[in-house]
Amino acid sequence: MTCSPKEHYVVAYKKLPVPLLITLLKPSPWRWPGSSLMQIPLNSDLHRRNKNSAPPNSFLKLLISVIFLISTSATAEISTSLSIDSEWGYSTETNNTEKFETTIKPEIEINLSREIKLTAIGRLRSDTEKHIDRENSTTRELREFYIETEIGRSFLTLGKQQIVWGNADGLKVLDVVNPQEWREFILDDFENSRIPLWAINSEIPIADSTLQLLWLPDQTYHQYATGNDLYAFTSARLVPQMPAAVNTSIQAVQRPDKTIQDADWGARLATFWNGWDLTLNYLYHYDDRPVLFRQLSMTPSGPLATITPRYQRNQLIGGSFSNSFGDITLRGEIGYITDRYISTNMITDNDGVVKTGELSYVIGLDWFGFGDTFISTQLFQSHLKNYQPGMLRNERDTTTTVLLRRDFNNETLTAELLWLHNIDLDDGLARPKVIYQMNDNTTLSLGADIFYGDQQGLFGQFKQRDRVISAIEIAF
Amino acid sequence: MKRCNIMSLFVFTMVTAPLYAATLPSGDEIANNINARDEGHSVIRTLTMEMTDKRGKQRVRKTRGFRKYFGDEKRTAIYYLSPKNVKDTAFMIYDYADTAIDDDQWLYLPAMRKVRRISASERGDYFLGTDFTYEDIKQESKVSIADYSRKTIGEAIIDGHQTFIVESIPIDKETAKELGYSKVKLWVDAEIWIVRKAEFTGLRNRPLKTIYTKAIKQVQGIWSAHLIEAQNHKTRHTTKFIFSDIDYQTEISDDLFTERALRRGL
Repeated sequence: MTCSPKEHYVVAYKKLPVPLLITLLKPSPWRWPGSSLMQIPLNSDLHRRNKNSAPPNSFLKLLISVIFLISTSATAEISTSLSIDSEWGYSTETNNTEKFETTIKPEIEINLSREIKLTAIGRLRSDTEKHIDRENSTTRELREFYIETEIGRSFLTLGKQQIVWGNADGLKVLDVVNPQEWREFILDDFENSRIPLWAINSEIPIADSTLQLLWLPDQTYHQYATGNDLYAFTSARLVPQMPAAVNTSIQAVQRPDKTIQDADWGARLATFWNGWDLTLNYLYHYDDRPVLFRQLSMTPSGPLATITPRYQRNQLIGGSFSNSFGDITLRGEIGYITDRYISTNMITDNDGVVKTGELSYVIGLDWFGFGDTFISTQLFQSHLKNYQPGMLRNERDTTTTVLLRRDFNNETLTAELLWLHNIDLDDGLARPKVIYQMNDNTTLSLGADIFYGDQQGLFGQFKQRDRVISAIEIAF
Repeated sequence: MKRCNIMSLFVFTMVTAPLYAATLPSGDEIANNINARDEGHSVIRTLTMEMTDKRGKQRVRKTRGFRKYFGDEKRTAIYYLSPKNVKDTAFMIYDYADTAIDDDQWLYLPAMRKVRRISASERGDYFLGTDFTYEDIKQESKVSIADYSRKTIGEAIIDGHQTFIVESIPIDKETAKELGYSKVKLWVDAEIWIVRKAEFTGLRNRPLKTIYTKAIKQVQGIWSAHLIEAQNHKTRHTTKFIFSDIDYQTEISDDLFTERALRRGL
């Protein structure tokens, strides 16, 4: 889930006194500005881009061999495109430019044969201001690289790709196949923040249904904002804290590293029945957030908490539905996660985490009552099965969203407002935006991101990050 | 003498008017003829959309369209090929023969990588920035029997062809609101039963738009429009649908009209 379960965004550990912790964290200590929160070393590991996103050697060799064989025996048809997106963000809190970022995305599609297509998408991103991502203000990557083919009536997609499940907007229950980049919280489009993975993705028709089978031998997980980055998490509800008298030692992150054994896999059965779009989903995967296991011991210098971040296996069982009734479209997702580990502040807890099942769902209503106007509202809730006092989140977490959108001038001008509000903590985010399609190739936009509420909340922690954003996108 | 002539004319008109009207097919007959016209079991075609605003600024979208009958049920899918900012957008509709059942509509938005269900009552909304409504797109060259009551009000020559003029009124206010029209006037070709011109009146009884069907030629034995132009009188925006590579004979896979096909694109 994107917005609700707070403990998942654990990227830091609060500990006093600071000097001692800095000593413990050497050689690469991090520090939050103006606070005693310390960035644990695992963050640099979590943050490292594409550390494990390189394809397994055998996988890549097989892919290249297939492409080579086909391309030598076929007349390739090639199409290319390029998009250049330049964004300027201005902080209304500090009256400074927050970002001036340019993203260039070249894309090439090669029809290797009638049934086989290769797609490659690159991304070069550079931010001159270096506030959002201080370590990686300029990045370049092969973002997606896959071949698509048909075998009979089945589709097969091999390579680095995005796989999107579910039908919710801005909130995630089922859309968890790919990890996410949190460098800009949830302000970036999921299209940009979703991290593509190397995978085999097959879609097999069975009668009137489609069975999707996934195998993902790619151990890449969420990437978080760290240290002094603008959108690093700071809320005490998101980061575990230790009493001042306890020293802390952070161990190296234990990442899964066996290509076959540690691969994720999943299945999705989709069907259309009596007007209903229905899916059943199952994903056996490593949770994209590391669990911070804690071990307490006594040392000559006092009590010591040893923190070992470790990725844990998980199972997601769920489904989605949608149908329309007159002016209204009803849609929803539900998912049960079998092994969620939530950090706890209870010093008496053996390992600092509580294992629990978690049931999450989102219900959305889209209303098309006015011409050219779209109104959408969603209710998102998650419940912990084994809630215990001291856990870093509530037993129940509820977020609502409202999206108002109106098109003008034959959809060349669009005004919209997206509002996310957490009912439990009374914090939220409002995102008004105006988009103008200047011509077929150029789009201009002007918007704002306004945070409010309790600074311990997911949104409220960024209440000093209000900003105005303008952008120009040129695509051809 | 003059009074006599006027009287004669009056009597002649009174006598001949019903006879003249009786010679014209009724509105429903014409509508049935339109809908009975052969449009093939399926069709594949390239559709280029040219949209021009009142200042003359033009946007062009190239699409590939597919339509196929599954018994009485009609399924249509439109895939956007260019420009880049709309490429891979796809729209699909299941139009059921039973008018009591709402159509099912889906829209794939590549920026979200998700297929979105669209309410069928949105049929009076304009389709992706054009001057055609979702209902216009669904009906294609046919007319909705259930939504209107209609009568034939005369004849006229359009582009050198004899046409019947049919006035259609939505059956109730709710339907009028859904469609966005209070009245539709059709000029229907008396030989090949294609609507050559249609005038739409808005809900406030003001002229809304006019649609012209041009370049009607036979393709594989089926009369096919190659140009449909909509002029919106309210916004002075125009949309041209230019059809090419029309093919009624190539078999279309049923799989093309599925949610997974929308996501994958062409």
